[in-house]
Amino acid sequence: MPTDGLTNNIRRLRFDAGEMTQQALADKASVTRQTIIAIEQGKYAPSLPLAFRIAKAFGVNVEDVFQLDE
Amino acid sequence: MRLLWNAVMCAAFAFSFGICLFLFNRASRTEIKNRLQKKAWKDLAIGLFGGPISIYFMVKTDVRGIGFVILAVLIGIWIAVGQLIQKKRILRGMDEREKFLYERAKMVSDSIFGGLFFSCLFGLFFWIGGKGQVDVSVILYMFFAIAIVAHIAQSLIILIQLKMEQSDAD
Repeated sequence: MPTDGLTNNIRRLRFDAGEMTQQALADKASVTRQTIIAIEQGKYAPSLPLAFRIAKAFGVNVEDVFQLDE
Repeated sequence: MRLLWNAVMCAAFAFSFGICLFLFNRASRTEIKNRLQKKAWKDLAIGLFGGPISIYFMVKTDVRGIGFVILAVLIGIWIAVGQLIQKKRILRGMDEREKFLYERAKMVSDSIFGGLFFSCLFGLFFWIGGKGQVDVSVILYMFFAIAIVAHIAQSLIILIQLKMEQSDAD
């Protein structure tokens, strides 16, 4: 799925969360590690439910994780 | 001549069986945890091994009359119902990105199937063009052969997509 200007702070948020591993985040968001890698690198735009699950895993709002470059 | 043909077919089966074993072994390796990747390797093995064998036996048994009708009906049911049931089963347990990759590969393989089948079908009629007759079973064999090609293509597309992502991640 093309990202269409969707950027994210997942790498920084993982760092802030005590170097949370990609696998740990994947487990919390109920996806595979490869999916987290693809999202983090901006190669895949997650669905809305997944974006919320990722934000919930960090305990922040969705817009703190994902931004739209206009 | 017949003996030589049988020997060639046996060698081809043995070779494809070897490839099948290699691919299944690869699919069951513990480091491959990705469900989609495992499925693609297994599908590739089935396509390379099961496909040619089924075609061979179909041609060999030379289905005719009511047997041919039954076979055509079974294929019809498989296309209509089987695909839907199978799709649900396949997609279970995959996350949304894996589903997306699978759907994309399926779309490409369906296009390959449609394009090849209609090209071959019309090509066949154009080539025959009043010069002679062709047995109706040829269309069925053609359908199967192209379905197998599309099946193999789908597995390869999935594996290539996953490999490209993997190399990007490294």
